Amino acid sequence: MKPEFSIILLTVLAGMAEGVLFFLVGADAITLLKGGAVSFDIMLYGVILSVALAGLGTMASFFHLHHKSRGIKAIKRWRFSWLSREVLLLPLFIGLTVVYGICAIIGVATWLRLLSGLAGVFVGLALGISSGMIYCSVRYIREWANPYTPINFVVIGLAGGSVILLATLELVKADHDLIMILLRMAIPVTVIAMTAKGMSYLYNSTAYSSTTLQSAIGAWRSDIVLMDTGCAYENYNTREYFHKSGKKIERAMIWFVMTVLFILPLSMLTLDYVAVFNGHPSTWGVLAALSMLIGGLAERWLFFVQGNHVQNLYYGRFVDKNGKNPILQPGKTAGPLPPVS
Amino acid sequence: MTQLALVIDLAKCVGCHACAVNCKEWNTSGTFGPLPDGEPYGKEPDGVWFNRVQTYEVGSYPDVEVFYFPKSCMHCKDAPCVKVCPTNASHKRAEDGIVLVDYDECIGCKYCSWACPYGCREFDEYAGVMKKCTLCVDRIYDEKLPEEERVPACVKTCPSSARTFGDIDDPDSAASVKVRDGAGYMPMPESGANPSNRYLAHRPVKTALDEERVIVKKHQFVEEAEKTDRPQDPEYFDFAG
Ligand code: SF4
Ligand code: SF4
Repeated sequence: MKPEFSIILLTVLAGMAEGVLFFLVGADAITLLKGGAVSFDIMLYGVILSVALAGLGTMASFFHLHHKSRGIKAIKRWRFSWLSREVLLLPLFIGLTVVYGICAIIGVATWLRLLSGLAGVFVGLALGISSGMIYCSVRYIREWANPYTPINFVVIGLAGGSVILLATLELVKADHDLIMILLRMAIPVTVIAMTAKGMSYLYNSTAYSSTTLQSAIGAWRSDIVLMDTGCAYENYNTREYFHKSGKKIERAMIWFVMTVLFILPLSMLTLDYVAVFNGHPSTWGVLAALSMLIGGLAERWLFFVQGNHVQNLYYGRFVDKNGKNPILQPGKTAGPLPPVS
Repeated sequence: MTQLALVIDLAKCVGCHACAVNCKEWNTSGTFGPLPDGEPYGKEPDGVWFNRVQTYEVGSYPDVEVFYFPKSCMHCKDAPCVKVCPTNASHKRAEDGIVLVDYDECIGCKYCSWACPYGCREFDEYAGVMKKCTLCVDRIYDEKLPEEERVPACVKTCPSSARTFGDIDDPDSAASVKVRDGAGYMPMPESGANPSNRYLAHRPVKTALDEERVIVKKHQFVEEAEKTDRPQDPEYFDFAG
């Protein structure tokens, strides 16, 4: 599928915003349990960070819509469409984050602040799942229609958010204990995200759609050759569902994503942990966050490029189970008949 | 229930693209138009079409055959495109099963096109809305048209009568009879979308011209010329028989 930058920005930034709030509320609760309190300005920075990320994502999403003024109509079918749910949950999430921030600023009762924070976290997770389900419910793209999609959207968002929050705390020189708490959460969640993404790439490399050109046009012959696609040059169907230059670097990008999104940040976080543990101030978290941001954008880009829609069969652009792509390799034959079940 | 649909006989289709062209002509000036073109005379022509005819070759040399596969919206019974639309712009009419897009509601998110397994929706970059085959809903109910013309433009124009239009849920409609007699099938049945359009398989058709039975009708002009005493052009009569 063709990667669209506005959607990439929306899903990556909104995911990180969810993660930031998740770990801010988490750190808040843990500090309370330990008998302390997160300072007022740290809470403010955290809330501003989360709202800024989600707000930027929302702005980016508007660039995807061709009728921006009608955007509000998109919540109409929230009972049926995951896209509707995402559109509904995004402002709700921002609103709840702001409420949590206000609770922290005006100093309402602790239980009320935690409750609003938990509500925000809950809506944030629902938002992440909705974003993932938009893609997961497109059953004609097997790289998307599997449980890894919503899981990845959520855990990568959490990992990214935790590291960005850590970086912010390090930049504003938050106290040592708080940074330690965050580091202890950021490292495991990044490892979990790496495992989930790795499994998703493994799944994508072996699973394949059972639909063939034979069934798509109902001609049960093994030797079908597509001669003409019915368009003189390109059309919406050839542009939207297939990204030629992206497909060529797909394999290399998997390694790039795994390195820049997970391996580099994890090594930096380890260095960070060692430094902070020994009581030295450290800014490794900032570098880790930058790396994760780049890796996160690359991951979402690759997610789109990997999507192999069955309608590509009609245009000779379907990547078959042998990883062969008729456009990238000479010859366009459909290949042998699939076994009859 | 009524489910209007197209039944396309791939053995009769000669791949002339008349249906696609006539569709474009009708719909560009019709209620659901325009179907814009980008650079129509340039090097990289690009445009919105509701119907495209694809060409396939089967067999290996010298026993090869070519057949054509016209593809437009299947007006699926369980239309996945309708299910995902966040605004209700994409909808399936209860009265005749036609799947339409309401251009005033569509926000241009393209989600429906991802959900369509047949690649039958094309985005209009200029209007910013999704477009697709309407089964000529602005023709088939138009009482200003003579009765026999109230069919989709593609059906009306097909020179080899490869297309039949009708209610596939009515077992006695011409479309249903054609499906029954010709073993009509659904393309990509495993899509779960339950497409309504049906195809009759491509099969080799032997045609031979029986000279005895060929009737050549004299041109009206010639007949009139014969009635009068005008001098006749011998060359012309050679041609007209
Ligand atoms: S063919 Fe595609 S656009 Fe038409 S009804 Fe089916 S899913 Fe929708
Ligand atoms: S592009 Fe328009 S018709 Fe399609 S899903 Fe979006 S709003 Fe609905």
